[in-house]
Amino acid sequence: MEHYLLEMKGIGKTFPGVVALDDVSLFIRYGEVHALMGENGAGKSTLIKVLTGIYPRDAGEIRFDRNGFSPTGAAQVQQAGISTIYQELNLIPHLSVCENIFIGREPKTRGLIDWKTAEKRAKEILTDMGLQEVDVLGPLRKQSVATQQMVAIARAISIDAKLVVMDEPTSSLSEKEVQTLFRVIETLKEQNISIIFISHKLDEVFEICDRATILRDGRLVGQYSIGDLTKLKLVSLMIGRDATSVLGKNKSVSTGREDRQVVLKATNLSRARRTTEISIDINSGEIVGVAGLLGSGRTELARILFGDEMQDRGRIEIGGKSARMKSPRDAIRLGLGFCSEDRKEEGLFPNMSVMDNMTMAVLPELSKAGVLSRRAQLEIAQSYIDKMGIATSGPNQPMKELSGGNQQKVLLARWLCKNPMLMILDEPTRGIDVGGKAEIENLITELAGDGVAILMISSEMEELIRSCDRIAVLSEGRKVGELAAKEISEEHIMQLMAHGSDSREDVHGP
Amino acid sequence: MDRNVNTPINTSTGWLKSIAWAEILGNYGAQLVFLTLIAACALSTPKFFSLGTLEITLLDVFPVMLVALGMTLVISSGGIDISVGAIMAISGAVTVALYTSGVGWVLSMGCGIGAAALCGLFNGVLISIFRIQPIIVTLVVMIAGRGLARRIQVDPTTSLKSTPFDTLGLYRIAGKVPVQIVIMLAVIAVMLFVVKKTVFAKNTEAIGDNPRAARLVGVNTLTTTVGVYVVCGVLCAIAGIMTIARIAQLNAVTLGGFIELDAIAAVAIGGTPFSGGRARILGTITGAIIVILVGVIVGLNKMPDDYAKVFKALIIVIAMWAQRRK
Repeated sequence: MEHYLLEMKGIGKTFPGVVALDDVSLFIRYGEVHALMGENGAGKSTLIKVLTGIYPRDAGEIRFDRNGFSPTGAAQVQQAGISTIYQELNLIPHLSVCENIFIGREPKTRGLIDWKTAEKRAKEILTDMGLQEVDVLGPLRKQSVATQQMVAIARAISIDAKLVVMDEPTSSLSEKEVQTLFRVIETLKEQNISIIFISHKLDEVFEICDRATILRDGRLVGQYSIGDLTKLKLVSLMIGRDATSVLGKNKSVSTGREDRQVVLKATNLSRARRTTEISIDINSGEIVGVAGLLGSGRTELARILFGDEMQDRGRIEIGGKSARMKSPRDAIRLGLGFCSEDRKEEGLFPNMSVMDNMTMAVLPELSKAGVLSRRAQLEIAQSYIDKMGIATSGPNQPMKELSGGNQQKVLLARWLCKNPMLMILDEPTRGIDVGGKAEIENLITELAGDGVAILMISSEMEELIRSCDRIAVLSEGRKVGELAAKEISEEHIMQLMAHGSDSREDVHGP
Repeated sequence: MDRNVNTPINTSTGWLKSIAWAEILGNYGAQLVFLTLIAACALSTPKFFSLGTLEITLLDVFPVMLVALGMTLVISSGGIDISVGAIMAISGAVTVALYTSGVGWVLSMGCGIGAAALCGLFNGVLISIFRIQPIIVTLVVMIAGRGLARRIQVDPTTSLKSTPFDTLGLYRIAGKVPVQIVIMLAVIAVMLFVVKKTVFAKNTEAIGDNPRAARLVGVNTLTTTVGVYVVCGVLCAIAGIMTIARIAQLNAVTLGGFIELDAIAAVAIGGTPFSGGRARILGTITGAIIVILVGVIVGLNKMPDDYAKVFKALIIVIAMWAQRRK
């Protein structure tokens, strides 16, 4: 009989009124990378929380490293050799890299913290991971998100973890950084450390994982070798229906329509050192993609176009007229809408209701002399909840209780109810499961069909290729090229990205 | 993210058993404490239900109620205002100084209220434009404002007996209902309307819940924040001037002294979250009444006033416990 590092058998967990896990099993071998797959609400997070002792299980058995295991607290889980790296990093930005690695377990001599040893060990661990250039004494917040992620992993390694759980580790990493992460994962594997890898990005799963356990609606679908799966099969298993209908081409049929008008025309936008002479124009009914790595200036571009930051040089025309936007308020008045990549920090009002979240931007139109018509507010909320199929118990449910995909739909509805001319969408499908993604992509295509101009920023190339009529490629704050419909392909985009950063003197955007 | 929103939550009866109590305690914690308190009072204090006691209580509650209502708005915007007592003193001092120098009483009051609004404007501008922490800005106004009020005050022994202020303070509408109670009910009605029905209140809550997102949906964070602190200042002015009128005297040192503590306590007991995002006017009303009742009961039972403070602290802890979120 094969020995597993982790055996979770017949796990059941019920919350009041909801069966979150029903007879779920998970077997992790020594030194393997195991994908835990499923849509939002499938039970992945609950299973991990049962494993890490945050939730007590109602049924089932856990064995870890051949011993029975009934975790009750974080310290015990850590001691057993399980380390978890969450989507939102639980690190302390003001402390140094070294302090973050050793916090709570600082090496001590005579009761005092031995910083020399800590520093040395931190350096060793990071060097093993191929990150010798990181300043271990500098504050963590000065490091890139990717490095911060690595620090979280370094912390896991430093406690001699046997199992590392990575929950969406790549959601804020660029392609290059993902490769660094994968290299680190390989190193961990060689040390016989096992990894549970949770990600919505199928490419990554196929690249790095050995086996996969798939959950759906709190039940086990099955356990598979990655070699036996295809992308399509994996997706169908996750959503329980034929995947071809979900991942089909979305591209609007409207390409080449005559009646298009220029909605926004930006010329030579520059700001500080992060954006240099970017020009872009967007027509009504058109989806223009912006591709580029993290730090290429894509989010900065969105902020300038939405009036959140002012350009130092260059001009913006909206609807043919020169526009000077001093704040997002001005942009909104001109008919623009913006969904930020960071829903939590820049989008949601978590404690307010779904209705308030949805109608926040349109309130001035729903009121007379500052007095709000609750009926109008309710009508709009209800109609968009129905139209977009938002899963909520009602317009008064607090926003924080919705799933990521439904929150994103509410945020989209926030602008749709204002009938915008131009929507700027920064990573509209980040952190959303496959089914939700397809729905949002379809929505965006529909919007364009209704004549709304759309600027879509995404780090997922497939998403851009599926939806966009044109794609502008940014690199290091410059526009290095623009691809028209016929030229759009993953290869072309990659070439531009690479070319742009290698020899930017030779290439100028059209 | 891990919660399955597609599954109805309230179908099983187990839900009722485990959740309903927490919900009720969370939503009505203040009210429950309030009821318990009234019951305890009635049992222990024979004179409690006489009309005189009730009236004194309502008059006592007046300044705290007004200030606490303003404070509710401020706290729902994610801020705090500890300068409320000093603003009361400034508005009182301005009013009396003008009146004693020969200005008409209505105009004097108007200027007093105007001075308070200016203080609120100062708070709001520093907080929203210069992005200084609300507690620091209002601390500055609290310290400087009290000193300023003492300089404005002409003579602390001036009596306002037999002036229009005296008449106003003792005025009873239809010969029966003290004017303070009518003003209080009117302010409560206006605040309820504002919080439930206006875009201003929604914007305020939005700023409290997520200031960055509020800016990105086009909320005018500057005017909203300034508006919040100005409203709070004006309510302080009404509280200050009416208190002077009732006791027919101005003492810029003691007027509104420590009222910020009672007001913040009332808001806390009322269940408005200090992280911002939600204003609970009804909660604050019961909170203010509870804070004052504690003092009255302690007094009626002939215990030293020091005990009232300990009881207030205890009630805050109990209310916070009842409303805690897991």
